[in-house]
Amino acid sequence: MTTEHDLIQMKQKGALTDDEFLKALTQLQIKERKSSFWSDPEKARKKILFSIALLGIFSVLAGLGLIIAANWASIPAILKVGGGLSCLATSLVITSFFKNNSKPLWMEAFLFISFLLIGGNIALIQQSYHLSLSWQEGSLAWWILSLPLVFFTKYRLIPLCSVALLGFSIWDIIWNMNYMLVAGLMFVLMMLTHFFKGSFAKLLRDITFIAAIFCLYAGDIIANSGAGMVGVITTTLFLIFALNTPKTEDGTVKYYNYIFLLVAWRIFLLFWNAYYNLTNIGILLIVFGIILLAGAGLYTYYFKQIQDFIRGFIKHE
Amino acid sequence: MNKIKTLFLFIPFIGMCCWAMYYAYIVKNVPEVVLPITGYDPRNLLSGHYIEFHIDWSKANCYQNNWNGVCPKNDFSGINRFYIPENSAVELEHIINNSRFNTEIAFAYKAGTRPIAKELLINGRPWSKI
Repeated sequence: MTTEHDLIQMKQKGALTDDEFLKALTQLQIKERKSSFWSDPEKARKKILFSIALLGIFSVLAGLGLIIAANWASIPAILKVGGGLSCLATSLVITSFFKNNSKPLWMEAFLFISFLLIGGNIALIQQSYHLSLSWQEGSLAWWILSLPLVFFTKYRLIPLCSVALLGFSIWDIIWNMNYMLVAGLMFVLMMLTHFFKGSFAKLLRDITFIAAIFCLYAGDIIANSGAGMVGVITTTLFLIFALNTPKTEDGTVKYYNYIFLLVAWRIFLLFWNAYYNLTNIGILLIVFGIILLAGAGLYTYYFKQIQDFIRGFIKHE
Repeated sequence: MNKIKTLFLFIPFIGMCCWAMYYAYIVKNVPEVVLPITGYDPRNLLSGHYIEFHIDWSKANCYQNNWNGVCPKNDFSGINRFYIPENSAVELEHIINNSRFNTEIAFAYKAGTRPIAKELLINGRPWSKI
């Protein structure tokens, strides 16, 4: 039988090309793996026993699941809810175990399972006690209860789901209030995060940014008017520009530069919708034209002085 | 510090336990009132089938639970769901819409608390025992 040593020798003599050598080596390793499984009876026995045990556990769990499902209506509410909450507690204990043992990927996986279990348990409590919660109220409860998980995760999956939940739960507020006001508040919060450093501030910045954009899109689509469509298109354009800006040293996208422009444009749209008529547009154009002409005139008249001032300022700096 | 942070992770669990225990306490300890209903069977994608009912105040007994003839209609506004197993949904819908059957819901209710639906009664008996 050919061994790995033989293959290396053949390659050195030039009897095998690199590709042929790699292919032969892979096949040899597969063969060795197969033969080692059956050549070591003790190892094979353990593996078979493990497989049978795994199948047994799976079968028992599936059977228990079916029996519980068949008798669901007759199980007392406290037992149903207790069972659901035990699953959540187990998932959180496993999360904290992996957190303390520095296994971030496993911790993240169980954090996400816990996040889903919180939603499942809300539905279970609602069903068990016949609560008349709306989708929005359910989402709000899910968002509030899963907030602590956002502080532990280092990935963006849970924060993004959290923002989606918040967006969904404030749908009514957006519907009833001026959605631009909600978006504006989000932008203000986003700006405030720039006074703080650290991963939490960065996360909050991203969350508020996404929430603000979500509010604008949702509101514009609900408005279902020409102005709404202008909003959708312009927000999309600003987003494309914002997401294409180069990253800063700490890796964050400087999208907030564009947010000032977006906010200014939105304020203009707001006034446009409220005060649109030919006279007002005429006045607006005249004022704009006068400002341009005055600027151009002043620049031409004081061209030399302005240049000297700038030069002096730069030298001084 | 690390332990405190880890405890922070269990806030959702503690919050949900308090929430569930509050309802369990209300259902067990608060007096029961029975009110007639009319309804139909829609579905919640997450929680399953439920009867969306409306309390028929014209047939309600407003002298139970020391109400003195004045039914607390405002306290019951927005309470309109009773969850049922999927396989009983169609049958129950027919029963509720049939005037031969007297359909009622037993609530755990005390003035100042939000009522909680406890049991669906058909001709005075729990629906599961019919």
